[in-house]
Amino acid sequence: MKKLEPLIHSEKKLLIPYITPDFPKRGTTEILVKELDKLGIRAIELGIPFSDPLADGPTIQQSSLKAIENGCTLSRVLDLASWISAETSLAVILMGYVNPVLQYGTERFFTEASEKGVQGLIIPDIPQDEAEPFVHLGKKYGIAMIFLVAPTTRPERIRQINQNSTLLSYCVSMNGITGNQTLNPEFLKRTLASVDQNHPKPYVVGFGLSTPQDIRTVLSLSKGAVVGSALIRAMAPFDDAGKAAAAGIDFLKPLTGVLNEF
Amino acid sequence: MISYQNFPDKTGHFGPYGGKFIPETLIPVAEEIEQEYLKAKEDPAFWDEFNDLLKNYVGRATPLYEAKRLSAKLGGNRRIWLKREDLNHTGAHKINNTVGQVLLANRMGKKRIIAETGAGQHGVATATVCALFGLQCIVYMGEEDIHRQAPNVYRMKLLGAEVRTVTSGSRTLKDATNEAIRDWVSNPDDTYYIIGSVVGMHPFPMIVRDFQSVIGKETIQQSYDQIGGLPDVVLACVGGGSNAMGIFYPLIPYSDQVRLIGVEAAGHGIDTQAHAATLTLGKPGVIHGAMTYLLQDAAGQVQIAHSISAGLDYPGVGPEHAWLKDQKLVRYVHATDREALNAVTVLSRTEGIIPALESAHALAWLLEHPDQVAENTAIVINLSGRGDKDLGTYMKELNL
Ligand SMILES: Cc1ncc(COP(=O)(O)O)c(C=O)c1O
Repeated sequence: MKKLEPLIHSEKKLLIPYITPDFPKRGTTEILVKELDKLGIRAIELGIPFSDPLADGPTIQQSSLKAIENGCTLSRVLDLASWISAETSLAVILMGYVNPVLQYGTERFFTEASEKGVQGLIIPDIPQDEAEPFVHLGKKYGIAMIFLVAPTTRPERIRQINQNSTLLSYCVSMNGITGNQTLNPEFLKRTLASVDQNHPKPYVVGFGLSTPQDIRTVLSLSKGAVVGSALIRAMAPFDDAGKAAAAGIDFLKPLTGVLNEF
Repeated sequence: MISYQNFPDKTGHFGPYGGKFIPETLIPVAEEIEQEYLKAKEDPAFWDEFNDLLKNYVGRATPLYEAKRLSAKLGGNRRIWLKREDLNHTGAHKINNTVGQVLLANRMGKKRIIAETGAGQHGVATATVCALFGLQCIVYMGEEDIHRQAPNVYRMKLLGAEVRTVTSGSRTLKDATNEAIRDWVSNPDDTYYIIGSVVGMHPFPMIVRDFQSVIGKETIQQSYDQIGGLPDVVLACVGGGSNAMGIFYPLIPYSDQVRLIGVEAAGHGIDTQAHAATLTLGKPGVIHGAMTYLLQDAAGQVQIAHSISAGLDYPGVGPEHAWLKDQKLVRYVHATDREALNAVTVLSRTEGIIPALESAHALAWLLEHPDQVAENTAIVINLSGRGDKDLGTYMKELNL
């Protein structure tokens, strides 16, 4: 957590891109992260591709299937995380569904992830009810467990999430799956008002963010904004790793511009 | 009495299986259903309404019918009885569950109902109860299943439901379930998800089992009346496992006397890649919110199942079955596409009963392995559904 902790405790807001690794082609992620580093991005979410991502819309589903086709296994993701940690200043947060982790061996996964510099972990299908082993292993291996808070989450549960999340939590902006381009600022404000009352730790907000105005809204209310599907959509049309990465950077530039307003 | 009947535990687990591996958004919704169900369970008026609908609308109790010509064909004085779930309104056991769940949805004031379907039987059963109660109904169905179960697609539409075609992944039941769950995540406030089998996150495996256990309760009563005691063997096909759980569950305390056998779909054969024999060849993993046996590759990606029968074409299985397998309380075996098709012909011609492809798997195993059941025994087969929906497949596959 050495890289993540200062980022969370600093005054600066965060823009966190979600990246499907090896998408649309092998080699894309390496080019992309080097450029992100130059753009002033400080942390990324790196996906662990899964065949049946329940909380994701078609964009992330399809990019995950493509990544799997491209040979992106969990050990490949860990190797990428290690490379990114060595070659860039980015803090790597892994985000993926529980089944590939279970099959890899949960403790083996935590051991290797911590050796490879992984800073944090988000598993959208591990709610508080199933969280205990992950909370324990996160502490043991120094990896921040970042749990989700949803608009439907009740106050006492938000307090429990605040307690179990290591440095920060991840607040879902809407009732829905990723990739909906319908951020509703009024709904978000109401949701975050309840989170703020029960969740003293910082949190980032994600799901459905795509425009500079979305980022502005979210950063005015929270520690950081996560952009996933919209970035993947920008990269998807390109067959060439360099071109796909360039399209991703072109998409992100106006969004990073918003960081200077804070 | 064996205490496994008290499962699941308070957190929704059957030993290491089950649980709630779902996005946070759905947690309060799943909790709300659990609380409402636990209240309803203690409310005699709820069961009065349930039982009244099962009797006067669904047509229960279904007969336990002695299939004498079929028994003679099997030989060895093995007497076969069929639990005639095929005679239910809408043609399968699925409606036992949808009647119960729609009553729960009503209690909770939910006006929008969603469901997934494979064979279309659960979709039809859901569309039916929605029509009965005037509720909006949306059914997710894989593109491949829409083709092979065309009559049921039309039935759902006739009943006023909207059928949404699922084109992601396998284009069958697995992905229809993914899409239904995604819909639910997007509409947690007004929507009730009527899941179609004993699968998914807690409390569904428990609720669906309880509603389906009417099959086993009737079977016990009828066995005493007609066989003069409990049967020696009970067979049921296992897709998600709801018709099997329904007939097995009341019999689990007697599993030292009654052999319980679940038959999975072996597709082209369990030595090929094309099968749906989850309990036979799967490994524990998480699908659709539950820890259970799962067909998956070494990296934990879910594999695409195959069965000629759309209702068995599923890479997971109910978590309670996973537990019953590990505890050796139920034996799980399998039958291939070909064996099931053969059983369809045999049953049609010995008894004048055209079974659903799913149900034919249970009979198929018995026909292929008569030696696995002792002579002079009483055997009950859960005939979970009728074959009307499969006529297209039969016309294509059976050269008459
Ligand atoms: C007639 C029939 N039997 C069995 C099944 C399999 O489901 P389950 O294993 O939940 O009983 C289906 C599913 O569609 C069905 O239509």
